[in-house]
Amino acid sequence: MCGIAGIVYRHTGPLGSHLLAMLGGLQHRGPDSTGVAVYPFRNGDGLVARVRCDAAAASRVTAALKAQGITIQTADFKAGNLRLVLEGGGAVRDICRAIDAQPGAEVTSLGTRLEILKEVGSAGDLEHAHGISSVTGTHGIGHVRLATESDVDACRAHPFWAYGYGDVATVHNGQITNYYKLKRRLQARGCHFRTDNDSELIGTYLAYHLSLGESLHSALERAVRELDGTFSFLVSTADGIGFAKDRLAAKPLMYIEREDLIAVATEEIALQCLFPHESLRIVEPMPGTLKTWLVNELASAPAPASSFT
Amino acid sequence: MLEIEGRGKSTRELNRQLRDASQQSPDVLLRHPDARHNLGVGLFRPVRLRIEGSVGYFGAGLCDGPSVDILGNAGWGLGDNLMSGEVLVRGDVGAVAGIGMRGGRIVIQGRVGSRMGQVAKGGVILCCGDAGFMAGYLLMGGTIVILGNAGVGLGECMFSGEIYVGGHVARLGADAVQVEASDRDLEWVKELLATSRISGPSRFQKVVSGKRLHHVDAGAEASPHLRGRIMKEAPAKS
Repeated sequence: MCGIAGIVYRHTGPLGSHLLAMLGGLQHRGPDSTGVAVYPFRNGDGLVARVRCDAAAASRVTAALKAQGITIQTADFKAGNLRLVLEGGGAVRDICRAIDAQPGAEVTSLGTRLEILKEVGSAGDLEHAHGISSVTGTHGIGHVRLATESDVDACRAHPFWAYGYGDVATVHNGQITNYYKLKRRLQARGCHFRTDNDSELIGTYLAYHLSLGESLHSALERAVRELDGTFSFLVSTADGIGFAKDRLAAKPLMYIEREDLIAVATEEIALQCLFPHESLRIVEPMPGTLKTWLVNELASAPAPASSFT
Repeated sequence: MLEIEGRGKSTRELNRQLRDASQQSPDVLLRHPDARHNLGVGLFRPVRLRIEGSVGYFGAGLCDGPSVDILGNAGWGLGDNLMSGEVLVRGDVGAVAGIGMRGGRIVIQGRVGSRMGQVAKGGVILCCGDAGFMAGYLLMGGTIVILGNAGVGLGECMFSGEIYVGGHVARLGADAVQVEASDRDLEWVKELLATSRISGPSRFQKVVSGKRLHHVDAGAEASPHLRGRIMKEAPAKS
């Protein structure tokens, strides 16, 4: 099954607590692992890295980056997760390689704003480990997993970062049946994969086409044409989020557009968790469709009527 | 009117309370359904149950006799295996609404997802908005009425039953054929709309099974591709 959720604010909002509420409402669809990809506000233009590691590996990672001449602004280690803010730009792949070369360290996300946190267990476990509920930001996506395609562990939990491409993450409900074919094609073009999980393909596939200059919308159109199998997935970039549904709508997905935010989830129950006392105007998109919500466009666009009773 | 609060209870506990209430009162109100799954399942009394909000998957499933009024939306598998009674949804409904229903009536005021009425054997489904792909998939009996447009694969592999569409049909499914709706047919649909207090178009396309796929006619000649290959007599048992 699995459950996915996403939220975009017209300006900004309590991203962490909203995502946790929706994922809590979807937990019956996937008790194995829970994760979020959030885009908090940041000052400065350096890169943020999230690294899964123990304390010893964290020391090795910071030492290795310094040895490469990379300036570390801040390094916070908590609950098996190292958060690094790196000064200035730098090639995402070079930094990944330097971190992943350290035994026991694994980059979970890297980008100017993206931060991915994911753990085996429930939304409550994720909150307990990382204190997601205090995060504010512009947009984010989340996932509860019922494992079907690969092992239950934090590495194979969603969201998946599009390895090597800054700020791109995906959550997926379904199975990609031409996974190996597309993975080989992308590998031949220089893409890297961290896991044997079919969902990881989606983000890398989209990020690869974004890197060639395609818009998020046209990359999603391509995905609906070329990905085979069952899917409703969400993709997030530094600019916003988008979804795509397979042509048989084998996996549900619905959303609400309000004055202050857009929320999208696998089931209405998750949207009701956000607004428990309201009757919501819920849209379930047609099979084979896609949509994007970009933060810059939303901030300037007129808001729709929010709800009805 | 008996009122039941939905919050703070397990689904099992809530359904037990609804069943108990249906024995005690002709009118029951469920507050705060919060789009939860499996609500109002297994009601066997002619109770009028009003649900103040949306329900999740398999809402009002396995029921025989109640009138369930859902003021919000419903998820997949609404009215699964309905035997008799009525389910009214004021909003939209997900996939496989009325799956395997045997009788009764489901009225959906909004849009509905794919495969509405899949393997239904009887009863009536009235969808006031558009219907997704493969409405009437493997339909075995009963009637589906769609006031809006129907998606591709309408009546896909249907065995029997009837489908009426007021709007546009994207494409008929395998072995589904369009026939002319008789005056009697149209009168029946008109009556259905009137008793459901819903206004709709006066013209409908009627779709039925072409009866080429599943149907066996023991008296008919064999299909051409089997001619000459059928044994005249059963082989003697050894």
